[in-house]
Amino acid sequence: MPATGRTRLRLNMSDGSQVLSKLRYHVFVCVDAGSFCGCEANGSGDFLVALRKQLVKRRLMPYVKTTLMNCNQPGAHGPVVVVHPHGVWYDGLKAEDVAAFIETQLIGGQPLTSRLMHSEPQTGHSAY
Amino acid sequence: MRHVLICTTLYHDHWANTVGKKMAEAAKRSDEDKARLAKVKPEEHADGHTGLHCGETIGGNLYEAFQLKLQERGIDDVLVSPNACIAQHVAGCMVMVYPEGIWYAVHAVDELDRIIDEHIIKGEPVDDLIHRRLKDPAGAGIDCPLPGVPGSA
Repeated sequence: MPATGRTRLRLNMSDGSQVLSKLRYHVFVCVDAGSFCGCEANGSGDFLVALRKQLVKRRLMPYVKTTLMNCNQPGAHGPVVVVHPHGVWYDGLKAEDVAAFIETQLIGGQPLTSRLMHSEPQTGHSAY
Repeated sequence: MRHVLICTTLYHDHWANTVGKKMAEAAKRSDEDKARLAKVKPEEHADGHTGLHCGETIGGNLYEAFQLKLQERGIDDVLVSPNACIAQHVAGCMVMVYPEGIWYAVHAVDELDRIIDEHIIKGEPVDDLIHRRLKDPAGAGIDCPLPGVPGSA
């Protein structure tokens, strides 16, 4: 351990060996408001709100976790959405696509092909 | 390609939401710890915010540090995304590695070296830094299909 003086907090809920057994998908939505990508300007906030509302309505919240991020994809049209652990990258999902997204990707397990990102995600860029 | 997500979000965003819960945890910190936290002055950042981002109390911008460490080792197939907060500040600053589905709780910048050397390069998760696993080594967990989904019919 490095000498930082901070002791590692161990809570009941944060036992290192614990597996989040109910979680099936971790969905990341880019909310970068800068000029690096167009995610926020193209409605990532609307998509996120619509997605969370639908997940609550369908009682899928324990199975699907939604988190904000910065996508680091220069020139992405947006909003960029990543579905982990399968690593499916979407570009251009709108609030009206939420029903199809949940039916096809989350429940069906198949990618929603019409909204997939056109190219492989690019590494090595920095939005800062 | 691995996707690494690091929480560099503003502290105030979370603290404002769950102050009571967090204050109880903060009270358990050591005096030395409290003194160090008190010394950190809020500064204006490149993004225009004033305040502490996650990671600044343990010695800097974890996102930039991670990118630099990757460049030093010549690794170019890892995508790093900042600003991914999952509100686990009580346990430490979160570094999530996908597709393995492992959340690390980082308490010092040096620990990023271990994550890169042991996990990213050799493929062996660093057990003593793990906060949560989303997938059991035995197979249960995040890869399974949705169970009988209530309300989806």
